[in-house]
This record gives sequence, C-alpha cells and structure tokens, in this order.
Amino acid sequence: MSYAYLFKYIIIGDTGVGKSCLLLQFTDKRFQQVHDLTIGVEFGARMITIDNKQIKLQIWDTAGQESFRSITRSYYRGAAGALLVYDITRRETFNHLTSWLDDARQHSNSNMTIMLIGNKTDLEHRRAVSFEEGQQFANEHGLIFLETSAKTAANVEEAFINTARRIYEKIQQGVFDVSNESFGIKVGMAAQQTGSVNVSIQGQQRSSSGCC
Amino acid sequence: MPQLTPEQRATFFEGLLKQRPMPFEKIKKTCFAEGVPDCSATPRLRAIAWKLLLGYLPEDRMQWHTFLAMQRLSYQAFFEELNVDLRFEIKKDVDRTLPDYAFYNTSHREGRVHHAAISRILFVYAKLNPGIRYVQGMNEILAPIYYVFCQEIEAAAADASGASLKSLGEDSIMPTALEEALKAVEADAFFCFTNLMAELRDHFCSKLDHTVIGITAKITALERLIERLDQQLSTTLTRLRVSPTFYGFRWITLLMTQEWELPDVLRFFDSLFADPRRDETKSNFLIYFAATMVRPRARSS
Repeated sequence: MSYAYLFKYIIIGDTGVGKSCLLLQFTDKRFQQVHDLTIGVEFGARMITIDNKQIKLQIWDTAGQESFRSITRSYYRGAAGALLVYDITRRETFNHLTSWLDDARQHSNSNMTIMLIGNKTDLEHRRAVSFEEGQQFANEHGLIFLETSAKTAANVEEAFINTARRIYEKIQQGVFDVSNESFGIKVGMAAQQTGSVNVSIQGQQRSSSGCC
Repeated sequence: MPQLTPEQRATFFEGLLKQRPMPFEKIKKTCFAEGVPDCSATPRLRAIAWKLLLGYLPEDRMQWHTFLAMQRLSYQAFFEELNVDLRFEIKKDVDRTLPDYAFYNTSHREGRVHHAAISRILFVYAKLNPGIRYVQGMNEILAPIYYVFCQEIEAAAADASGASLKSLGEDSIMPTALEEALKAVEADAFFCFTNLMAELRDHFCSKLDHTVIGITAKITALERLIERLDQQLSTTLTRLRVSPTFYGFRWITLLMTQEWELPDVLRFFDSLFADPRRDETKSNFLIYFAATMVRPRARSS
C-alpha cells in the first residue's frame, strides 16, 4: 500500500512498563496479559491518516534492560518520533526518565519528537505517580504527554497519532529536509515526489556492516 | 546403518549410556546428528544426555549417586542470602517466561512451583556471579533445561516399575517423593545452567559488547558467514539496511528459544549441546543454524 510519508518511531522506557503491550494494542487492537520478554528489538507497523494523507508508522520496540548497552543505540538512528514510557504504578520507572531522555537526546537527531507516556491507568488504585507530576515533567523537558492504558486501549491511538501529527506539522513548517533520511522520515510514492523507494526497513545512515 | 525405529534407536542409545567406560564421543555424535531418540523414554534419556553434554554428570556412572547428592546439597546451601530488589527483578521476567505453555502457566499450582524454582536458580546464579548478575534473557535459556529435567520426574513416576531406570542405576538418582525430586531437578538445572553460562556469559555482559569475545563479534561472524554462503542475499540485506544486529542479537543471545516452539527448541538443544565445535565461537553450529534461518528456502536446499 502506498503512503505519503513513512515515520520511524522508537519505544523506550524501563523494563515491564508496557512498551510491547502498547505496540500490540496499537497494531493488533488486543491486549496480552503476559507478554514475552523483549530481547533486542521487535518491529511493528500500521498505516494512519493525517490531513487526508496516508502515513506509515514503522515502530521499533526496544528491550528495557538493554537500553544502556551501546549495541542498542543503533536503534535510535534515524527515528522521527520516540514514545518514552513509564509505569504510573512504579515510581522508579518515573525516576529514571531523566537518564532515558539524556540517552535519547544524545543518540538521535535534535528534531526527534518525544511523547511521554504514563501507562497502566487501568491500575488507578495502585497509582504512585500523579498525572500532574507527569505533565510537569513533560512541560519542563518540552515533551508531549498522555496517560494511557494498553489494557483498556485508553489513549493508545492518541499516543501514536498525536506524535505523528506533531511530526507532520514540523514537515509542513519546513523543519525537516525530508530527503535527508537521518530525520526518520521517508517520502512515499503517494506524495508524488521522486527519489524514494518503499522499503520495509530503513533508518540507518551507515551501511549495516560493522554495525555500531 | 539400516533405518531403525525410534524404539530401536532408544535401546541402542540406552545401551551406549550403560557401557563402561562410557563411549562419550559416540553419544555426543548421536545427539548431534540424530538428536535424542524420540520415544516414550525420551524425557529420561534426554535429561541424562543433556547432563552429560553440559559436563555436569561425570562419565563414570558409578559416581553419579554420590556426585548428585553432593551437588544438590551444595545448591541448597547457596540459596541463603536474600535480596529483595534482585528477586523482584528476576520475578518480573520469570512471570513472562514461556507464558503460552501450561507447564509455566501461573494460574496452575504446578506452574507457580516451577516459576518459583527457576526464579531461585537465577537468583542464586546472580549472587554467585556478581560480575554478571542477572541479565534479561537468562530466563529464556534456563526454562527449557528445567523443563526437560522435570519431564524426567514424570517419566519416572509413570514408569513405576522402574525396570529400565534400575538398569541405568537411575532409581537411586531420582528421589521418589515429588518434593524431593523437584528439589533435585532444581539443583541439577542450576549446575547445568551455570556450566552453559560459562560459555555464554560474555553475550550478556555489556562491557564486552565491542570486544572480540562479546556479542558484536558473534553477530559479525554471522554476517560474514551469510556473505560467504549467499553473496546475493548479503548484498540485498545491506541494501535494505537490515543490520544483522536487528535479528542476530536475539537469536544468538537466546539460543533461538524465542524463535521456535518448545519441542523444536528441545531438539535444537540436543545438537547445540553436542556440537563438536561449540568452543569455536565464530563457526559453530549456532552461527551456521542462524545463517541458514536467514537464507530463503529456495536457495538453501
């Protein structure tokens, strides 16, 4: 299926905050109570529509514990958007956000759009981080913010789509040179521009040999 | 050799295990080429074979009884220190280990018992190996080993007459009471896991990621092998920017445990543990198997 743009996303955050479950809910519209542990990286994709344009989201779901291994930093390369996820019932996952953000900013392009997500709102009775705290952190660091539940699907669509909308606006404003792949955006056939081919995997600037 | 039925192969295999001195190389070759014979005796034979291949059981069968009793006691002794954070960290992953299999399903009492056991093994391992501690993915490697050793108990229970077990000198190895048997399985799985980790721990160590012994070197070896086996494929993957890191990292770190269903993983482990080139880290069975998984079927025949 042709698309106007392809955006590469990366999902990051501590282990067990629900990254893979958010992806599964977004791509398959289902919830898995016990999801396999993610090792390395898993991929998901879905087509969305913004401003009557078909946009393909190519999503890289990373492993929480491996984030600070240099090997996984190659996943950031050429990401247009990042979902930074914490678990509202586990305070420590919120406390680690700063180091996640440092890592993301250091290894991605400066125009990457970052959405902060407080997941597991279905567990309201066990909440350990208030909505206001999340919002404040997002404001201080220039992030978009939403609370979601991968279980009930609340705000999951919005999390992925609002991020895409922000990226799309940046394109309209000319923030990106869309022919430069390092921004994680690919122009598809449907945008009636030349010089791009639909490929299933993209994002690395360098050749894959001698990775990292 | 003429085509043998699985039962005949099992009898032959059992014969090898009973021989004195034990023809270890022959056992290894059989496991590598054919796997442990698939028949009613498989659970028991496989558990013994894996314990031998992983260098846990001594070759002299007469020593098994004393040796195992000692190891199982040592393991109990290891499990003394407690650390709440580490236990929580491990529990979170163990809860997500092979969730689709009834054996590890926590909605059953048995599943919870098995979860608790593999959690303890990982915990003791982490405590005894503070340099590497616990790293995500160790749970996936341990799960099939523990499962196979548990199958041995079930086989022993079903085989109440114990005739064939006795002939192997096995009845004295496996305590009859279930609780004792489970403790024994836990200790055995711990030591086999530890022996296996001695070879694999470098994959889990981020400090070694970019050294000649770390995971990156293994992934590069895989990439070179694909290049050598199928130049066209290698060129295509490079053009599409499919870095071998994206798949090879998981395949190699987890020994394919997330790529196949459990019964296939068990058969794969037969060969993996018996691989005569297991210590040649850059051209061993695992790397060849991984390269074969990348190749399109049409060209790999």
